[in-house]
Amino acid sequence: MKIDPSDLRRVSVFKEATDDDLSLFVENSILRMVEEGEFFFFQGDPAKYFYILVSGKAKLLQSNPAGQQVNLRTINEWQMFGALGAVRPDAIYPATAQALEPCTALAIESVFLHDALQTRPYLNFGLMQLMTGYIQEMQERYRELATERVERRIALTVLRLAAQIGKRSGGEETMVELPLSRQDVAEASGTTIYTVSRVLSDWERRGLVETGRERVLIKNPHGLVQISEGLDQ
Amino acid sequence: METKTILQPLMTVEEVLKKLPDSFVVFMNRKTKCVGCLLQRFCTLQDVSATYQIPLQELIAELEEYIPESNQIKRSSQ
Repeated sequence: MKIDPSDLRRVSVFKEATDDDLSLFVENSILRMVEEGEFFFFQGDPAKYFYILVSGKAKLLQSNPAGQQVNLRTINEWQMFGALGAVRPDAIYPATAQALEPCTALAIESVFLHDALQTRPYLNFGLMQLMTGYIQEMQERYRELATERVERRIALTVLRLAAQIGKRSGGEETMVELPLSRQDVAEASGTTIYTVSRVLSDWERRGLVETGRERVLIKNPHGLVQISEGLDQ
Repeated sequence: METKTILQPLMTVEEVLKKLPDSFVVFMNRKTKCVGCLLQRFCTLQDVSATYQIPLQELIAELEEYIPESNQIKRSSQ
């Protein structure tokens, strides 16, 4: 398989590269074929090469010491991955890269990219764009974990308390009334009164509940069930 | 007379499941979240019908298919 250097311009980091640079990268690359289910590298290996996926699909996954796996991202054609060795010479791969389909990729020594970075601002900007994109994505996921999970927990707590001490209210449509303060809900759900206030205000805006002093009225019981099951997104 | 087994729109899911335990299948088939839900003792058949957009009479008819034989005889003889 022959790689046309100009194809490399499809890699976001190389968008602004000169033809000479692209040829240089191709000349210094090794073409690697990886079968479906096989690996490019493992989490913890020294990050000696970075890769550009030419064909196929791969995923980056991380596992904790107990072996539990998290998929970090999917890599598509003409995406660069495993490039952190270019910035930190002693880096190890923080994740494992596994082929989801039969893959072809260019492997280039991290040191080569490291040296190229010294004299080519476009590469620096390209990598920074890649990194800031990753950071933004991670911040979003972190926010989801930190806030959306707590919303589910509070919904479940309110439903449990409703089942135990709630009183039916409303006419045709069922509503459930709870004699609880925000502090009570916070204690029962193992979170803070600030978080409970934020979540309840949001629910109130969405017409799911009505709150007062020592009182929570569930106006849309099914809506709360959906939140508790994470089905409302 | 055992005429109580006929379901009413304002009966709660809890009451229905207590009277006709086998009727849980209907809630499952209709893909409702009612079986195992914490709000069973509040939600009425009318609520279920509105939430999942199942015509009320259809829902009641499906549930009543699970009335045990012995009761059905009494019901039809009322």
